[in-house]
Amino acid sequence: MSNVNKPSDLGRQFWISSLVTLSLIAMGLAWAGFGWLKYGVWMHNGPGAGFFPLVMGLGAALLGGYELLRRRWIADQVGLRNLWPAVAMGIAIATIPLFGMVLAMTLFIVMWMALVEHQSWLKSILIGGGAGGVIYLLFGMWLMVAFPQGALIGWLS
Amino acid sequence: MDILQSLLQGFATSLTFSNILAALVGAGLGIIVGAIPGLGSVTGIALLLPLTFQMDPITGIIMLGALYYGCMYGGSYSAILLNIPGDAPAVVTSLDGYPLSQQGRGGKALFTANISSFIGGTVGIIMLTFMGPILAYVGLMFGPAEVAALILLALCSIGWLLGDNPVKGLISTFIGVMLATIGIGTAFGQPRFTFDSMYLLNGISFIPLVIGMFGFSQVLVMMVNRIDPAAQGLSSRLGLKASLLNRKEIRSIIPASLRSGVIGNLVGILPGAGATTGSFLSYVLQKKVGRNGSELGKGRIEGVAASEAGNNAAAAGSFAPLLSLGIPGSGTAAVLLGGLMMWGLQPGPLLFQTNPDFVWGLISSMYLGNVMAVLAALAIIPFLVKLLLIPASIMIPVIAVVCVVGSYSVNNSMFDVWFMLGAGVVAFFMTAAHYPIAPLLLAFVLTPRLETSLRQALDISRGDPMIFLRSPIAATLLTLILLFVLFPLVKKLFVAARQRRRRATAE
Repeated sequence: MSNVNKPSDLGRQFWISSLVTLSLIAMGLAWAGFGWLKYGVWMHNGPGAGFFPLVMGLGAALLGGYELLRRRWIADQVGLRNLWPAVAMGIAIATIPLFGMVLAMTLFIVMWMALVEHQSWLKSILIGGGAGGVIYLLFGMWLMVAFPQGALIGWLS
Repeated sequence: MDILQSLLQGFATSLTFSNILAALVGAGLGIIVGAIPGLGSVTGIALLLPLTFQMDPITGIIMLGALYYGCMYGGSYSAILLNIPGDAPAVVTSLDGYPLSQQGRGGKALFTANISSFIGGTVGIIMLTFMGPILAYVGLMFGPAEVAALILLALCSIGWLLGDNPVKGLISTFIGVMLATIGIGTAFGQPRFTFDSMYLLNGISFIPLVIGMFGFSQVLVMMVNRIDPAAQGLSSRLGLKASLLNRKEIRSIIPASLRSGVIGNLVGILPGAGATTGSFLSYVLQKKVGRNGSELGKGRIEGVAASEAGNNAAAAGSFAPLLSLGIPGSGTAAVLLGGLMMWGLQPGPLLFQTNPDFVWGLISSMYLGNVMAVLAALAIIPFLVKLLLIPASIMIPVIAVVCVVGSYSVNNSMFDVWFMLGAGVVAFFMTAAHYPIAPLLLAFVLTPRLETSLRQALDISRGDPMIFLRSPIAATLLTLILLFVLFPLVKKLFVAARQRRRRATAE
């Protein structure tokens, strides 16, 4: 995936690069630990359920350690603004039990376009409504995907 | 000559107005289903199968075959245009396809995908026509030890070849394998890393993972790195004329497509290896032996050509064990097997003798389906490229919603939706720290098959690892792995020694 931003300051690059690598090392060690202690590495003349977690976890942890020792702190510029869509979508997903899938996603598009992108309400409603309609027709009607209805529809009906 | 005569008879059976219409409808539906993130050829065929029971079996299978090919074409569209691979093989297509779109060459990427899909598919079908039974028996020579060695070769090459930093590539590969161990593995029947959650018992679903890691993380990137199509003059570069390939470009994709067609077809006949391994190994070969191999991954049409030709040829290859031995080579072939059996046909060695009309009708319909799919696909490119002109202010919320709906529709599960969101954020930070995501996803897809094959191989040999050296195929593949790992080190030492000698001579 191409994601080459402008290089940020060294401090930020250090934090992002080292935190991501440390997280991957921690994950590798956790996998290796569970594989070794809980699932069994070798049983009945062959690899047990813990064999792959142990080998791959150790591999990830060792290579992660090597990467930290190389001290190459390379990372792209990221900021809190990058995470806005994740936060907004998290809120939209949390409203699905209330509004249902199609309405919650339609509202997400409308609100995002109007409040974050500062587009006109009319344009936002037209695009949001159009996208919601396409999703309903394509997934709901043609492919018969059972979308969550939401409590609101129940109250209204 | 017998084969040619049978094929001509097959064409005589399949080239009727109703069959051509069925192929066209199947190809069109396949392109739509393939282009929708979260849906693949298995879903498409499963949806259409009940409708075809009303039809004549030959017309029905022609429609399904065309739909299968259409899905293969459509799967690349969302990968190229939105960086959301519709299915596992399209992960490889997105490596070069999406950078091409960002450079305003999305139309050329789509044309390349279609033309190389056609070439790869045609190579695959020709090999199936003339060597179907032989191919099927070659596939049978790949027992658990050979399959394990083949997948190990693919895994070793993934980390080394993708991304700028091989160490980070290998870490991503390991993380992919680790994620694949979540759930009840087929090899052991024991739950792992489920933390008593019923949602994790079946393991992580691939589609929500890929949609999150490629699609949603791209939304987060787009939030700051916005591409303004008007300001960058993309509209002039996205016209139909600018999207067509010139003679030089066609010349550069033909060798890649032919080579990948052969490789993809050979991998496609191996049960379980499928189109993902086919497209990935084709890409690896292109990177190693093709011109501008080092440029692959930065937006080269040869990369798109290798991947697409490889996966379409693998799709044709998966029919060889199905028709000759009754063993489906892929998930889609398994659904088709169900369809064949419901029509009262029993695929296997006797099918060619008992139902020659049907078999040769099916094989000829694959030629027909491939032609219909490429015509339909080329016709819609002018409309597809317009997607790239939509500004980020609309693309960000719409892609985010497509990610949510696509990940929900796989299993009708809200857990998958939340998982997709988390995977997107994790992938965003990994990408920011320059950890490549493609090795993780490819390792995730290949691991269950590797784990099962390794376990089966050692069960057969009662724990003796020499089984991998006794088989000539496995031993050759393991030697290749060794060369793969050692070659960069030896090359590095050789270059250093040469530089030392030069310095000594200069002094």
